[in-house]
Amino acid sequence: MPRNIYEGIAVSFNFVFMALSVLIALCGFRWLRADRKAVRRALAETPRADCVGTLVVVSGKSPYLSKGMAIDLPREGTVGRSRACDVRLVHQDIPARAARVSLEPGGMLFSPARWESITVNGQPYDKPVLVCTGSRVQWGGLTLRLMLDESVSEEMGSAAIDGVEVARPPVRRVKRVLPQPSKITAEEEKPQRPKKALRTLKPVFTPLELDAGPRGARGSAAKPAQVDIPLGVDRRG
Amino acid sequence: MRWDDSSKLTALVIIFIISIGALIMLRTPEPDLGALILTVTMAAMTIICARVLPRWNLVDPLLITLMNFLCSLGALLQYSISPTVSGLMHAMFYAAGLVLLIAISAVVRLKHSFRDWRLWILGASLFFLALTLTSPIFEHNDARSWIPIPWLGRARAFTIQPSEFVKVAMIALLADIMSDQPPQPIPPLIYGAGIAASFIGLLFLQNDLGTGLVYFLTALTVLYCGTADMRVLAGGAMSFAAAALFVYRISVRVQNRILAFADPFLHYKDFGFQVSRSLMSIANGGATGAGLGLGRSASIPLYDTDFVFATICEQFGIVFGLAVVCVYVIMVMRGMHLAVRASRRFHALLAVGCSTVLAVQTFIIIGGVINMIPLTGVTLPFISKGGSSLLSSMINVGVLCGVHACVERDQKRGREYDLPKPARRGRQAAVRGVAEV
Repeated sequence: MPRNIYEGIAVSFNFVFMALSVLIALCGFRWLRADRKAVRRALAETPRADCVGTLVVVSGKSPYLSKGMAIDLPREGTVGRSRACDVRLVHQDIPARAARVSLEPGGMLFSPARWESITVNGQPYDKPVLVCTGSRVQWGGLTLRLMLDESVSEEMGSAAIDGVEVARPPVRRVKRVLPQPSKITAEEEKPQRPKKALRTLKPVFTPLELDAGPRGARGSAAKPAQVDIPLGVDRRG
Repeated sequence: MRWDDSSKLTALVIIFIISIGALIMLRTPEPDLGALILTVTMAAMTIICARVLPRWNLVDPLLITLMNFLCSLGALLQYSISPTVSGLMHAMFYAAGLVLLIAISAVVRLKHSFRDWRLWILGASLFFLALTLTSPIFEHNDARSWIPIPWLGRARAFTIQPSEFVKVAMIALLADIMSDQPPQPIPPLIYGAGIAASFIGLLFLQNDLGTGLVYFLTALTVLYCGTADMRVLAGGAMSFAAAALFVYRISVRVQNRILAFADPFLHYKDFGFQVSRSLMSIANGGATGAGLGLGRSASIPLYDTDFVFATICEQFGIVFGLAVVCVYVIMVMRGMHLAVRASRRFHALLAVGCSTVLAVQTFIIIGGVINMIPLTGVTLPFISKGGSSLLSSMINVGVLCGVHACVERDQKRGREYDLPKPARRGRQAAVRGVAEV
């Protein structure tokens, strides 16, 4: 093809390329935005989708924590008083970075931070410890009960998740701690199953608890309304 | 058929590939079979990647489609520059990269930690980086970053750049170390910083400062995200300032680059030539460009590798160049979004590292080409000539695709259990029971 004709065609093709590239960029941005909206919507519908259980405050009061308060636990994260932690427990006895938690076959692996220790069912540990659902975890005056979701308990029954074998517990000397019913005090031994009182549950959250951390805040913020209003009433009203 | 975002984007990319391929075929009087094969192959791969692979949750359709757009642009542009040496080689590396991408995606999906492989990865990375120091005859642009592979061609013709692959290895190591469970024999921050410093030190010995800068910024980002400690950023900034001052004092090349950055046209005849020609080419192209294969960008040294963005801007126009930058921005945003959504710390840090590499490398080279920052020689991901760079960039996308697969799997499972089904209310009841106490 003669060069001058090719130059004309090439310049005119450039407008096509320009339009296509701009459309590709716009389409990509639109897809990205739509995907983020979909994720946000899914999170709004199922706010606990990325949580595997809760830490329920059994004893130990602070302006931000009260007895009975349930704090959501992610599949993996850090626990501590610091704002940088995934699960924030604002209590004087909790170190800034208390422990790392991760879901492992058999329970939740609590790995105390360097120079820190953790008490599980009355036994202190300074090494990683696999905590089963129902066990009591304690830092100083703050006692919490680990409650893993039913779905997670089902998962842990087999050592496989979604058909893929989960890695073995990463730390060598992991000790598994089962709940000890004999050591649970009478006050804590109250019935776990809801009875009639479920309909007239007292609010267990205070507005201050919204500061209990990003994950805790979301779970806590969603639940007071559920607990506050008797079941069967339209919450939107 | 409903045209969703995926279909629209795939169709646009295919139209782009076909139109640019048609223009290349029009350039020669006789039919160009190579261009035809390349066009058809790239279009077919785009369809397979965007429509077939996502069905098995192997790839992220948005990332893979945008990557195909950039790779197709790179392959066809390189073909128009040099059909056999650059174009077909680029396409071959693209095909190999696609296989690697799927394999890496599967590995990331299956492995939640690289603890067992950590020492192997570290040893191999250090070995290959050190190996480049023993081959002084392969010096390109004052840097010794290449290892010859004699059995794959002539020694000068086929070389690999280990630093491109070690980049991904460093991200994997840092993500693994920063997400490891305590107690660890060495504090993770010191361990990670030590590994990054050893890699950067070897790159400094290779005289490859541009890649060293990419390593430094990536490592700093991963370490900061792993610790959430502002002191890490402050320490990184101080060490960067000290290292920059030291390198400026001892290296004449760095001093020349700074002078060329301050006024490239003043040093047009010596060390400012490359940047001056680049700026002139971009201005020559204007908003709409001079046309494919036209213009004077061939006069820029390394116009098909480091300065390929100047070539794009001249031949296709500044508007097209801006759209290409937007595509990179979307890919980086997608990677960061995946990092936020990841439920495992290891996957989040992997996604952060891979997105940062893409962002930093693109920013450094485009900033250097348009004289926004002092020039440092790195490649433009997916487009520049060079097999190691293309493979490394595709491995990066493979890691992001693996993280995407994990995120989708975890969230799907979480949603399934979190929906208010009658059978799943036991947990809420148990929590309420305890709350009642």
